[in-house]
Amino acid sequence: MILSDVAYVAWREVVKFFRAKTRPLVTVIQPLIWLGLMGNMMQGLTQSPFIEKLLGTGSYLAFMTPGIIVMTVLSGGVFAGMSIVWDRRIGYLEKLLAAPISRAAIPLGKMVAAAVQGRILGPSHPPYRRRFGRAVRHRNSWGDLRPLCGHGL
Amino acid sequence: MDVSKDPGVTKRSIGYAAQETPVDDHLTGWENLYLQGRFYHLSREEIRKRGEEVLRLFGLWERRNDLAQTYSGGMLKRLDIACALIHRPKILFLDEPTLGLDVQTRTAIWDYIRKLREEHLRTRILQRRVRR
Repeated sequence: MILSDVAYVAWREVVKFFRAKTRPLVTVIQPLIWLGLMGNMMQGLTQSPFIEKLLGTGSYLAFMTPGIIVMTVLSGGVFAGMSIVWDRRIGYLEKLLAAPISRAAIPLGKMVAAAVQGRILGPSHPPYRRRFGRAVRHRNSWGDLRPLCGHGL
Repeated sequence: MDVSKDPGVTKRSIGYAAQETPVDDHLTGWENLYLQGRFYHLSREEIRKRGEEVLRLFGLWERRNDLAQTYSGGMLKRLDIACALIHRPKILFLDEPTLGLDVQTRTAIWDYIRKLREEHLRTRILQRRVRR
């Protein structure tokens, strides 16, 4: 029973997320802008041997990408937290509490939804792989980060 | 029925429509109802059957696949009461069901509620309203 409760709380969030259109789009495009503009702009820094040593790599993109991925996944988590506050504001939380669902299912469902969003829109998104894959593979960050992103929360 | 011993049984036998009309704007009318039915652990079949019943009763069946944000205030209120009815509660709590609605809609909602009382004799309606 608690599993189905969690599933339906999560279902609501995921449906809303993808229906909003702007939010998935922003979550995909914003990191691309960060990497494309900021990443390439800061590339010049690595010409200094000191900075290169500090970053541990000659490519600023490779240094930056893991952080961007974590940021994307993390902002999904922030949204999940905010949606509980919003539910409380509009009274939906009260409605959930009046229903015979398990109370733990409410936060758990939101977490599952955030994890699904983070998993889909974070690291595994194809444009990142194609565009930035080589720079990153150079440091092999993908392998280290994948489990982290999967458990975004 | 003991609330502290078995809250699940108690919760299943009451229907609650809050004052704030907590309907999810970004879901369709049907999805709102479906979710509510799922939260009360009804089966897919039960939700389909009773959902159609309550939506027809409240005159929302034709608009069931529209997003709730396109509904008018009175429709939202009706949808919320429909949601509260999907699990056939023994007691129905309506907190100010006609708050902020115009006179026609208000009369319409009270008509629906009266109809409800006639058709579902098991259902008892409690009203809380202060007339000024």
